[in-house]
Amino acid sequence: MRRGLCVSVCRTCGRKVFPPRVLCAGCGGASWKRERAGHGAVEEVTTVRHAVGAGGEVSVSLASVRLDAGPVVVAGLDGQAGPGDRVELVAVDGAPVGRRAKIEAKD
Amino acid sequence: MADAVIAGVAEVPYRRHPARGTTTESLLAGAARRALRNAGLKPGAIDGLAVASFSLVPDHAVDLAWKLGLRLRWLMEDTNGGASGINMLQHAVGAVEAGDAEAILVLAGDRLTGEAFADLVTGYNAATRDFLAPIRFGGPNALFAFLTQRHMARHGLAREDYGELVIAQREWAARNPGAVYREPLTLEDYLAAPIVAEPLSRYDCAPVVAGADALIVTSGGSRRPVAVRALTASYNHDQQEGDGLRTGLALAARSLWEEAGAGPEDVDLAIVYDDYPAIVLVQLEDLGFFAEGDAKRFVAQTVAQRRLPLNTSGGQLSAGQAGAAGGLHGLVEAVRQLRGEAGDRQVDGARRALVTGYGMVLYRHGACTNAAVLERVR
Repeated sequence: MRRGLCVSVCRTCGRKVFPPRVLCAGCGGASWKRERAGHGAVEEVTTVRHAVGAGGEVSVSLASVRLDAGPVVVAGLDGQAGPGDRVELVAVDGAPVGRRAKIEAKD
Repeated sequence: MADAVIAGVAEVPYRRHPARGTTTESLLAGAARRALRNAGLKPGAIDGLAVASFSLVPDHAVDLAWKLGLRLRWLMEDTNGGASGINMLQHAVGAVEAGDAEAILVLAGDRLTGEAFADLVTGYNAATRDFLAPIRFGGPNALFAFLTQRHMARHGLAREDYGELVIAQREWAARNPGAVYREPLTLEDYLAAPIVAEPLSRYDCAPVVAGADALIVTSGGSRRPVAVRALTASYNHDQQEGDGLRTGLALAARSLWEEAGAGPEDVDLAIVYDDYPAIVLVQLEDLGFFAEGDAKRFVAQTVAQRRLPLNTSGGQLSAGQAGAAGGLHGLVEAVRQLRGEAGDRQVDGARRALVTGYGMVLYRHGACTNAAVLERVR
C-alpha cells in the first residue's frame, strides 16, 4: 500500500522522529501528531547483492536519506539516485521509498 | 564481600556447517562442560546461570537450567546480542560480590539455521519488521554499508585501510584452531572479493557460524583468576539520531580508564567487537586508542605494523559469529590470553586486556555498547 510518508512530531516540544516513538526523548511528552515529510536529500546509497534468506544474488537499491523534516531514514530506491540528489518519498507498506525528484519542491 | 573473579572460560569450536544433531542446547552444554573443566569445578558448585541466545526460543534460562541439571539461586537471561557478554559479566560480578551467588555460569551460543537466521534478521525488532523488512533491506549489511561510507568520507579512509585490519585478524585466525577461516588473506584477495553491499565485501561481514562460549564468575579460589578491573556500559546513547560514528563508549571512556587505573597504552591486547571493520575503528577512537580523526594513521602505524594485538582469535570476521555468542567470544579470548591458555597465538606476558561489546541495531546502528578491562591477578 502506497501513501504519503509522515514523521511524528511531538506536540509538546516539536521534536520530529522516524520511526515513531512512544515518549519523546526531548521532553517526555506522550502526544504526537503526524506530519507529511515527502522530500529529502540522499546521503549514501548502496546496492544489496546478497540478502539473508534470498538464496542467491539480489539487487536491491537502498539509500540513507535526510528528510527536510530532519530525521534520517533508510529508504528503498525506485530508480537511480546518488549522494546529494534530492528525492521524493512515499511510504510503501509503511516504509520509506524514494525516487529522484524531477522538480524542486518543498513540503 | 569477596571480590569476584573469572575462574574459567571455554568455547566450542565454531563451525560453518555443524554436525547433524547439533542444537543450540548441545552447543551451550558443550561450552558449559568445558568451562567447568577449565575452572576445575563440579556442576554442583554452580548456583547462578546467565544465558544469551537468539535460538533458545521457546525456551528461556530456567528451561536451560533444567536441561543442564543445574539447581540455582540466581538466574538471568540477556537479550543484548553483541553486548550481552559484558552485560552478563557486569551482573554476575555484582551478584557474586553481593553474596547472591557463589559461582555463576555465563553462557551464550546459537545454532541458527538458514530459515531461523532469516526470521531473526527481518524480525529483529518491531522497527526492523515494520520499516526495514518492507524495503527488502536484506539484513544489517546495508546499514553498515552506509555507516562505513560515512566513516570513509569523515576520515579519508579507503577500502585498503579496512583490508589491513581484516588481514591482520586473519593472521591471528591462522593460529586459532577454533576459527572457521584460517587461510592467509592478501590485500589483493580482499579487494577482489565479491561485494555484498557497496563498499562492504564478504570479508567485511562476520560469517554466521554455530557455536557457544562460556565463562564462570566465582568469589575466588581459582587457579589463575582474572579480575574485572573496570566495566562500563551505555545503551541508546544517541536515540538513533546520530551518525553511528560515535558510540556510547565515547561518553564512558574516561571513567573506564580511571577505574581501571590504566590507559589504552597500558593494555597488552584489545578484543574489540568486530561485526564490521569500521565499527572496530569507531570503538577504538571512542576509547582513546588514537586521537579523533586519526583512524588512517592508526591503521598504517599500529594495525599494519602489528603494534597492538587486536582481536587475537581472528575476531568474528575470521573466527565467525555464533549469534549471541559474539558478545561473549571476546571475553573468552581475552581470559585465555591472560591465563596463558591461548596456544600458538599466545601474547607473551599478557597481563591486561580491553574487551568491548556492541550490538542491537534498532534502526540505523547499534544501540548497546560496553567495555571491560580485565587483568591477570597473579
